[in-house]
Amino acid sequence: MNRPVLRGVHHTARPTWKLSETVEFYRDRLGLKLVHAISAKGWGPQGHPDFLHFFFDSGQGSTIAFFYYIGSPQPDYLVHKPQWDCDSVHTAWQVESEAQLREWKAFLEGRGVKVEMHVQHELIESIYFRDPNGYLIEIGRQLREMTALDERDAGMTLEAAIAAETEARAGGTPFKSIEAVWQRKGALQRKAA
Amino acid sequence: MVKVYVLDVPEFRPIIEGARRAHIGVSGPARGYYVIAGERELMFSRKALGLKPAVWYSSLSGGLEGRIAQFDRDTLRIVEP
Repeated sequence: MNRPVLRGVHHTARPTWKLSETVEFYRDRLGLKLVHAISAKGWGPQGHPDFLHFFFDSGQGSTIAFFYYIGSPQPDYLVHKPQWDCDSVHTAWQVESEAQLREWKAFLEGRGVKVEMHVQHELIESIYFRDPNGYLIEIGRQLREMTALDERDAGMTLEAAIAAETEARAGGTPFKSIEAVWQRKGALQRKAA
Repeated sequence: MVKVYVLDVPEFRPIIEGARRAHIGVSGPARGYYVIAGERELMFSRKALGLKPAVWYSSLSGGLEGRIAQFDRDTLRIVEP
């Protein structure tokens, strides 16, 4: 059977313990339309609290959604820390041009949202800011199309990295730096030449 | 011999142009990669290449034959393993 088709993101969802601030931020400050809200009696797994699940329109049929669990205190492990490991979970929205990215930056700053970073990555130029939960949001524009070359290179990078991880798991050289990946990839390149 | 493989895409091209300006041996692209080769050592400066940090820190992502002796915000030095 062929792999069935995917048609992009419908929604991503994260929990919030700041209901009013979250609605105010996404709907009123960012101007994203509140398009759907589920309010339900707790059901399913035992102990599941009553909840709200609500969605803001982020363009092209995508939404960003939140859960608010009524009467359920925030566990420590879900308190977002603004640092690299927690921030790996983030939402990245797409714009089409440099002008649109500049407009977003000015729009956010004009509405009192601090833009923390403006970074030119390899394939995307992005700005970053936080919502009232501390969650990181990225808005980016893709700088060029991904090509077959990118795909082949990605395959080789991951092949090298998985080999380094496998060796470390088997009790060999610990996998502690990206240098090990680059050297393994160098060896793959040499072999292919 | 020390070698750095550089993917043939626009964002990494400043590395190739910088190496050529510095009269370091560049060959390719072949199979999608340029190869920068040095006898015992290769040295690059981020400012001289004009690379933004996010791309600079991926400069060796195409593959490396050698060992990193220094890799900080402005200097990258590769030596023999």
